[in-house]
Amino acid sequence: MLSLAGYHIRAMLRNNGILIWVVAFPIILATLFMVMFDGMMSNQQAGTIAVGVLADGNYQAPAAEPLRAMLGALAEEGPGEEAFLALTSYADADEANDALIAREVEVLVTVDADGAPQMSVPPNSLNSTHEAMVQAVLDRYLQSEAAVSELARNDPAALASPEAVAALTADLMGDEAQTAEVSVLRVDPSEMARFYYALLGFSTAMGANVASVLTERLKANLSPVGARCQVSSMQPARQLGAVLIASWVIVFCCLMAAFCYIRFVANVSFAGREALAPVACAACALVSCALGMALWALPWLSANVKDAVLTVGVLVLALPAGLYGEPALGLSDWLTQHMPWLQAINPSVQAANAFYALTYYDSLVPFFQTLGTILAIAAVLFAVAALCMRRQRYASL
Amino acid sequence: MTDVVSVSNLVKRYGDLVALDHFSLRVAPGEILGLLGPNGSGKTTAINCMLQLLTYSQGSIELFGQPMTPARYDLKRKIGVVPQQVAVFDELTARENIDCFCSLYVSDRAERRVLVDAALDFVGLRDFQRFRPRKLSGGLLRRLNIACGIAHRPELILFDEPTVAVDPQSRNAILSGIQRLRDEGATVVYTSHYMEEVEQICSRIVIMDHGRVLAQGTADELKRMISTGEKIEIEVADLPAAALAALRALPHVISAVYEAGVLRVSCEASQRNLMDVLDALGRADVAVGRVWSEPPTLNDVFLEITGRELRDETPEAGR
Ligand SMILES: Nc1ncnc2c1ncn2[C@@H]1O[C@H](COP(=O)(O)OP(=O)(O)O)[C@@H](O)[C@H]1O
Ligand SMILES: [Mg+2]
Repeated sequence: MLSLAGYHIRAMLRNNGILIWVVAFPIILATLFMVMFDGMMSNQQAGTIAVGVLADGNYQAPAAEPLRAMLGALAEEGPGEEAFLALTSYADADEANDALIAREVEVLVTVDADGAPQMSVPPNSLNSTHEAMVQAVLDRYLQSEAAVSELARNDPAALASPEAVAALTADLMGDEAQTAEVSVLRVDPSEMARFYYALLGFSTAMGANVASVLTERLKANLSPVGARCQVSSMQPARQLGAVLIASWVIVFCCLMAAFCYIRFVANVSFAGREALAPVACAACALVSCALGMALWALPWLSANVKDAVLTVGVLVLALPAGLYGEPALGLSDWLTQHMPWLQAINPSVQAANAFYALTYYDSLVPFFQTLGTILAIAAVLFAVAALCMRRQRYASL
Repeated sequence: MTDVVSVSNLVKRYGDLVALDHFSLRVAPGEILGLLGPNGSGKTTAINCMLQLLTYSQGSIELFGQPMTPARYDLKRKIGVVPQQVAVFDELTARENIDCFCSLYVSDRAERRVLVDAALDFVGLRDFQRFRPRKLSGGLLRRLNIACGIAHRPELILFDEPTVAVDPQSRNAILSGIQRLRDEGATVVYTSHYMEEVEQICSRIVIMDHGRVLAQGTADELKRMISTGEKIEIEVADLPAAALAALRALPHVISAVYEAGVLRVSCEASQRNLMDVLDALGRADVAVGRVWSEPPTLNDVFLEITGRELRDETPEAGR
C-alpha cells in the first residue's frame, strides 16, 4: 500500500495540472495579494498632500495663529523626509474653490469666524486616504485647541510667551500628529488577513484535484488503468487507502507551503499561534481529499462533467470565503448572518474560518469547533465516496 | 486436470444488445487458446465478465476450478491481464509503471525488483526503462502494456488484442513472447481478429461472432469442418465465358470467379484439383500465367460459417 502511495505521490508531482493548480497557484495568488496590498499601503503612505488654504481675514486672525503654525510646520521637509503637506495659499474664496474643483489641491482648509478650521473636499471626492489624514490632523488640532482655550482662560500668561506657543505647536504636530497619521493609515489588519485566510480556503478546495485525479485511477468505470487496478489482487480498501495517503500528503504539504509563504513572506500575522497551523492544514487537507474522492466516485457523471463541476465548484466554494475582494467579503458576512448552514457545509469557508478563529479569538474553542465541522464534512464526503465505490461490477464500461 | 477457465452459458446484455449469447469457453492448463472474432463480436466483453468487471445476467464462470467473484483476491493473484487499450500511468517511467502495477500483487520490494527486471527483458524494454509512455512508439507502448500485465508471473494471462496497431517487428516479438510464456507454464487466452496470428500461435481456436461460439478446435480441425479444401488462383489474360462455365461444371469445384485478370477457383478437398482446372483451361485454349494453390484459411472457415468475411478491415502493411 505504501509503495503504491509512493507512486501516486510521484505521479502527482509530475502532473503539470496538479503542479500548476494545486502547488503553485496558491503561492502565485498570495504573491499577487502581496503586490496588491503593498500598492495600497504605499498609496496611502507616500506622497505629500496638496492642501489649499484660504488666507482670508479669519485665517490671518490671531485666534488661528496655532493652526497657521501647525500647518506651516507640517509643510516643512524633515531631515530626509518629504513634507507631509504642500500648502498653497489663496487670497480669494473663488480662486480657492476653483483650485479645489480643478484638483490642484486635494483638500481646502478654511477658517471660520471662531478660528475653527473647516475642510472642503472636491465634488465627487473618492474619500481618499489623504483627505482622511488631513481630517484627522484637523480634528486633533481642534481637540488640542479646546485644551489650549481652557488653558488660556485659566492662565493667560502661559500663552503669552513665544516659547509657550512654540511648545504647544510642537505638541500639536509632533509625535502626536504622527500618531494621528498612523492610526488613519492602519488598515484594519483583519480585513487584509482575511484575504489570505480565504486563499487558504481556496487552496483547500483546489486540493480536491489531487484526490480526484487519483480516484479516477482506481475503478474500471472511471479509467482504463482503473480496470487494471480493479482486477488486481490488492483489496479495494487498501488501494483507496493508498490514494488517500498520497493525496493527503500532497495537499497537506501544499497547504503548509502556502501557509508558510503567507506567514513568512507576506508577513501575515497568526497571532503567535503558528504551531497550530499544521493541525488546521491537516484537517483541511483531509476535507480536500474527501471532496475530490466523493465527486469522482459519483457514478452518473462523465469525467468531463466532473472536471467542469470541480473547476467551477472550486471558484464557487471559494467565493463566500471572501477570496475575490470586498464584495466577496461582504457576501461572506451576509451569508454567515442569513444562511449560516450554507457556510457551515462549505469546506472552503470552514478552512478560512479555521485560520481566522486561530488568529483572532483568545479562546481556542472556536478554532477546534471549526476543525470539528471540517472533519464532519470530510466524514460525510468519505461516506459518499465509499458508497459509490463499493460497487465492483458494472453494467457497462 | 481441471480447466483453468470454465465459462458456461454466459449471457451479457447491454440494454437491448445481446453481447454474449450463451457463451461457453474451456481452457486447459498450458494451452494458448485463441478467441477469434471480428470487431464487436464480444471478445472484450467475455474477458471483462471473466474478470468480474461486468455484471452478467446468466451463466457461471469458474477460474482454476473455483467460482470467480470480485472478492476472490486469491484467484486474482494468479491472473494477468493485458487490456485492449493501453492502460499505464503517463507520469511514471516504463520501469515505474511495471513496478507500480506489480505492487498491486507483490508487496515485497526486493522480490519485485527481480520480477520487474525480468518483465523488462521479456518485452525488450530494458533500454527504454526510464522513458515515460509519451516518449514510447506505438509498438513499444504495447510492449509496456504487456509487461505491466505479466510482471507478477501470473498462471493465467488474458491478452485482449495485443497486436492491434503494432509494427511487424513488435508484433513478432509479442507473438513469440506469448509462446515463451506458455513454455514457462502459463495458460493463455489470446483474443484477436487477425486469423494469421491466431493460427500461428494458438493450440486451440474458438471462433465467435455476435456473442456466440460458432466453432472450435485446432486450426486443422476447423479447416476440415468446411467444404472448401483448396483455393486456386490463376493469372489469365482473357477468359471466354464458355471456359468459365466449363470450370464450374468440374466435379470438385465449388465456385469460380474471374475478376481483373485473375481467376479464383475454390474446390473441395481432392488430390486432383489443380490438374483438373488447368486441363479444363487447356481444353478451352486459354493462355495461363502464374498459378497459386493454397489450403483454406481460417477466413474461409469464418466465411463459410457466417457467410461473411472475418476481416472487416485491411490489416497493416507487412502482415
Ligand atoms: N459499454 C457498452 N455499451 C453498449 N454496448 C457495448 C458496450 N461495450 C461493448 N458494446 C457492444 O457489445 C458488443 C461486443 O463488444 P466487444 O466485447 O467490445 O467486442 P470485441 O472485443 O469482440 O470487439 C459490440 O456490439 C459493442 O458495440
Ligand atoms: Mg475488443
